[in-house]
Amino acid sequence: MSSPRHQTPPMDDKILELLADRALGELSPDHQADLDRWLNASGDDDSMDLAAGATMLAMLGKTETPPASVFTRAAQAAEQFQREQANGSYRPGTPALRLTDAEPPQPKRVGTAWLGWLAAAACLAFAAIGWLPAFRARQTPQAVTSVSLASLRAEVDSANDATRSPWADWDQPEIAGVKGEIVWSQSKQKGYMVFRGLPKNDPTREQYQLWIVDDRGIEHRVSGGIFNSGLAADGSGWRGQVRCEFVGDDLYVEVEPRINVRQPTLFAVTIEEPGGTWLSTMKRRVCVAQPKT
Amino acid sequence: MGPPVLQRVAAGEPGAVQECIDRYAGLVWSLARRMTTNNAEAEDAVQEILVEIWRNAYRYDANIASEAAFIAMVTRRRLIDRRRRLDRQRDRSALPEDPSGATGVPPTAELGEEARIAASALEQLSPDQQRVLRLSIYQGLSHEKIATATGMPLGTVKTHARRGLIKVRELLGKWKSNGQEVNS
Repeated sequence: MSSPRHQTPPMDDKILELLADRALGELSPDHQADLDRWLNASGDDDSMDLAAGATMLAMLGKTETPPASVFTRAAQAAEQFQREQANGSYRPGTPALRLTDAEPPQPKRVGTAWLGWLAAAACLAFAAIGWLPAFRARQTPQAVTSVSLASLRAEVDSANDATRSPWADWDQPEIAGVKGEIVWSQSKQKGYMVFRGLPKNDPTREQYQLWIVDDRGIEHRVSGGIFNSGLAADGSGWRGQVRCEFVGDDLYVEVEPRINVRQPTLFAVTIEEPGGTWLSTMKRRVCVAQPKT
Repeated sequence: MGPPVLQRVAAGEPGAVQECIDRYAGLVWSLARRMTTNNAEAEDAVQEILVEIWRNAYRYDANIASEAAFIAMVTRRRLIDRRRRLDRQRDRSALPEDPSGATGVPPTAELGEEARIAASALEQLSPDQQRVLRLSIYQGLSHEKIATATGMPLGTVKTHARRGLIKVRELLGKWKSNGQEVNS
């Protein structure tokens, strides 16, 4: 949330209107740059978002009881979240499966709680939502000039337990005909993917995400990385959450699960929102690869 | 009274996540129902939002806002994000039906003190401002759709929505600056 007006630098009416537009989900791309400039200079301000949330609560009046299926799905999500907490892959401020610039929590300072909240809220804004302009600015794909995966490929290829699994069309794929393979070393917990014919994506609209399914089943799928297919102006690969590079027409992408996986039984690629997702519906399907056991 | 449940979720306290579900799944569900087109979509959204809340639970500060207000803020942002994403994938020209309509009753205490302040602020707005804010915030309609539905010029809709929300923000700021404590 944000600081009230009396504790923030004076805002002119234009900034207030931009913050209101943002809180209402109506900020136009043309105005995002204006707001970004102000936010960069003064820090984010979530007071308008808090006002919108409070207004919605006021209009709601009271809550409804969800259907039982909501609690069932919530329990499944809770189980996965708690597993992540327990195994240490949950790191506050750096969600494992989302692009974020959020900072770890800072110690609370006596007498500046509101300012601390402001900073925290700004971080939250970046972590929680992809539409915030400041987050958008940070999420703009950056050209990476040194992304060679040669050493990784060599390391994985030389592993005794390296498996090579070719990509095949998934059932009802949104994108069909993608070729290539995924190479994975269970002992090293490392791997890489090769794609041919994977269409270029617009990273501001959607990204590809790898899912690793092991013997615990698809409900316990683990993200293997968020990535893009495309080229920057300088010819290097657009960087997603993991490293990638083009070698000829082949796109090589690092596999980087944030938690240890058991013996994979399936690798699957989906299309997700920018920044990926923690719980995919697996509805936007691309390709799958089944390791030989 | 112990620490807020969000702080206990962040600390990994056993049972805290379940307690959070028991306490706030209804709130998230109620909000999601207003900004989605059907129950299946609302269910997807609730699952996604709860995870988002847990992952950001450590950012919650009980000295600054109630848990309900914090959760409403995160929920709204996520719903707006989803709406934009889904709007790109399908034609949502049809207006979503308001499942039950704004209740028009004073917000219950479980919704936090900010809801009461916001309700008070809404009473100070003109009927048109209230209507536009209700369609925008409560039903999640775009300004363009509100203009179509109400017959108001688009510029008027934008002005009503902005001024109305800015008014709510100002009252919340004054309430906070008067040293009011926010209880979770």
